[in-house]
Amino acid sequence: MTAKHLASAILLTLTIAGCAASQDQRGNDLAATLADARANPEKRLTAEVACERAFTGRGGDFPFQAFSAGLLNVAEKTGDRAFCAGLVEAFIAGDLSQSELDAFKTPSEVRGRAAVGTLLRAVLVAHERLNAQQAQKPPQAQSCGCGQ
Amino acid sequence: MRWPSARDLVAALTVASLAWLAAPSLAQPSFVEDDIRRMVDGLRDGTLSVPFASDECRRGLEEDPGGKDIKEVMAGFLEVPEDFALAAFCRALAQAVKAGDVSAEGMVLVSREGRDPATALEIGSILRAVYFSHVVTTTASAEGRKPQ
Repeated sequence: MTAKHLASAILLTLTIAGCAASQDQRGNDLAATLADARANPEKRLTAEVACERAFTGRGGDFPFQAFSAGLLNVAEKTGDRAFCAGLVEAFIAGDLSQSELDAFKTPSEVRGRAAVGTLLRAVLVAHERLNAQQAQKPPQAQSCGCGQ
Repeated sequence: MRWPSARDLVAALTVASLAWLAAPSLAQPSFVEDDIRRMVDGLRDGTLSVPFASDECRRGLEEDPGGKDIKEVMAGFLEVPEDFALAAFCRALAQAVKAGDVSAEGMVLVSREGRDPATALEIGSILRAVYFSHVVTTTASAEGRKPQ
């Protein structure tokens, strides 16, 4: 018995690096949109939508939506949305820096894997913060979840 | 990025259980699953201690070629120095199992190498449990009390 088995969870997270900071045009567009949202937080929703589109159009066989749902403890169909909301919140709040996102432009063999863990933690913490903020709002101000 | 071999996410704890279980060959899935269940039972009923399981887990991962990647990701995810990342991860996972936040069924599911959404969701859930287990442990340590 070797000890490599645990790697599955970790390697899955590495996949996310390819999603959240892909080096293709879509990834570059998302990075630009995030930077714009940080400078103009009123564009948060625009960034979230751009992020969801980037994930949805990503292709590949990795069920990222389900992974996100597990990580963030949300319904599976809202996994992408919750991850993107957390990512945008983390970036606007400064939990993730531009350089931390830029790190994903470098191959993981060069930059190392810590950036992936940092990204996941930042999104998880930001997601919990958003949930707490939502819970503190008066009922009429809370999202109705219409159309979900 | 390729889909990882999701076979034994539980490596850490499965490895940890080996000395305790004197397990038969883990090449056969049924044995793996039995071992996972016994390991979970052992942690929960106290016949397998968290420190022992954590230490065996860490040593197993340190000897494994994949351990370096795990170390790097967990350093970022758990916000600890790389030198302590495997220990922190293993302890958090063992605590999460003991606390019932990670189920035997979930670990068995991941050990089956599935590439389906259910497996991805479970992996996300396990990472979430590991993160919060780590936060509880470190917060308790900082406050000078024993983690629950």
